[in-house]
Amino acid sequence: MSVELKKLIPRWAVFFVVAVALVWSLLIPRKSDFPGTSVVKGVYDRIDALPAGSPVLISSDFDPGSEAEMEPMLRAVLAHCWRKKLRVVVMTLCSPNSMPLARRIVTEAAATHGAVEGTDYALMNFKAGASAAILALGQSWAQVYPVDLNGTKISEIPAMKGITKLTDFPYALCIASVNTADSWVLAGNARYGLNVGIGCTAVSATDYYPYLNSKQITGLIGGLAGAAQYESLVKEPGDASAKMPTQSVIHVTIVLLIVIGNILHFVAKWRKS
Amino acid sequence: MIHLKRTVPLAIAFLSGIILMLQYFIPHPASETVLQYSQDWLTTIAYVAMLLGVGSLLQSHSLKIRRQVPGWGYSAVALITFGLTVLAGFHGKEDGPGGPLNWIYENLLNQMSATMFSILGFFIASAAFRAFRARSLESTLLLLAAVIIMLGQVPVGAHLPVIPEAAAWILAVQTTAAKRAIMFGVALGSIATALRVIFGIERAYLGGE
Repeated sequence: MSVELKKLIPRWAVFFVVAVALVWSLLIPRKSDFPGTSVVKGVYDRIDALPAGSPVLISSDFDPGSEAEMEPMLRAVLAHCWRKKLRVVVMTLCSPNSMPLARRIVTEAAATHGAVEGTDYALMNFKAGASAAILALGQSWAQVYPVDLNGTKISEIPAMKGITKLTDFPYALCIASVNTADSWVLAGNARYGLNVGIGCTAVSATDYYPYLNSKQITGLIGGLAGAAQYESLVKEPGDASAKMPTQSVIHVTIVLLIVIGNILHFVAKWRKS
Repeated sequence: MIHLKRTVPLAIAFLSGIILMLQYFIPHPASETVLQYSQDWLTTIAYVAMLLGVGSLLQSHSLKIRRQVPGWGYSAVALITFGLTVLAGFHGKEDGPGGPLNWIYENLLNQMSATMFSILGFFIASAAFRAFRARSLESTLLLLAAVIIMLGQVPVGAHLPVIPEAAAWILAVQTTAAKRAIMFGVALGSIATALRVIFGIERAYLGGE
């Protein structure tokens, strides 16, 4: 920022504009219908096509920093799975901070949908070494996870019935704010042929488009917008739909700030010349 | 001593690299067993690496406190909270709801992480305002792409002409092409580095050569 521009519009003024836009966005009437793109439908259709009782693996690889963006995604997918009477297995490869968060979200969503731990879903603890853990799961599930998060033996959990290795899951979805999604594609899909979908933050969505085009992943839920589309597909508007007006307003505000910054820059340049 | 420091690590790197490389191409139960063992090793090493990280954190902050470098108070806070969290972890069930560790997680870590991430939004707005300038053809293209993607990713973009289609095209074609090129480059670089490590040409991991 040039000295003139800094004086004309200081940093606090930019922050103030963003704060005003943020507060104003909360007053905008909420919309609940966001048409699903083919990219998001790639995940939805795969889960929707599974017969009742099928297991679905969800790798919940995000921590509190990205909770606002990722939680609605996880909730929408869980709602879809339980409505289809699918068994859900939730694990994490992100960090030890991820599973307490995932447990809270899954437990709350289960209470809403009447899902029972052990029967409709199972929770697994954090495992370090993302790719190594996935490769090991492809060999033997019980070797990596002999017990679930509560210490119950895998063989005694009805939700884990028939699961001996990774490929026993007809579908796996990695909801990640870190790069574990790459591990799921490179170790899970490339090595074992596992059908993989990805849910990620909006900023990292561009990283996964090559996998989408090469059909290494079936679909991609990108950021809050993707989560809002998924909520619309499962007809259960939630946090993502509610937050979309705010995201719209802030994006437009940033674009306007960029335009104003450029106008001021060129005016200053023209005056100088 | 030189054997322990140089020859043994080089031999381990060579043997591990060659065995695991060959293993990938041998569809046999014995090969699968080798893979299983190697994965156990990898997982173990990953956990040991975490311990090393903890050791490094303690060492680095202790040093700052001892030398009383500017901002050493933050290091003291980091060490105290680290110690309290470890104590909470040992108290009661690992991280069960209602436990002290879970309390720290829900009421401190969770809130602070969310706050940090929220503040980021303001800084991104400020940085975009300061830095996004159409100074050259390249920066103008970057600016246009950023604006199109930002508008295309939110519902308001759907009401603007061309924006949704342009955003989808940038993501599916331009981004994919660039990303794929980077991935190929990284893959080739990784292969070259792996071969250098396996054959002992690259020895920086032994302690800087």
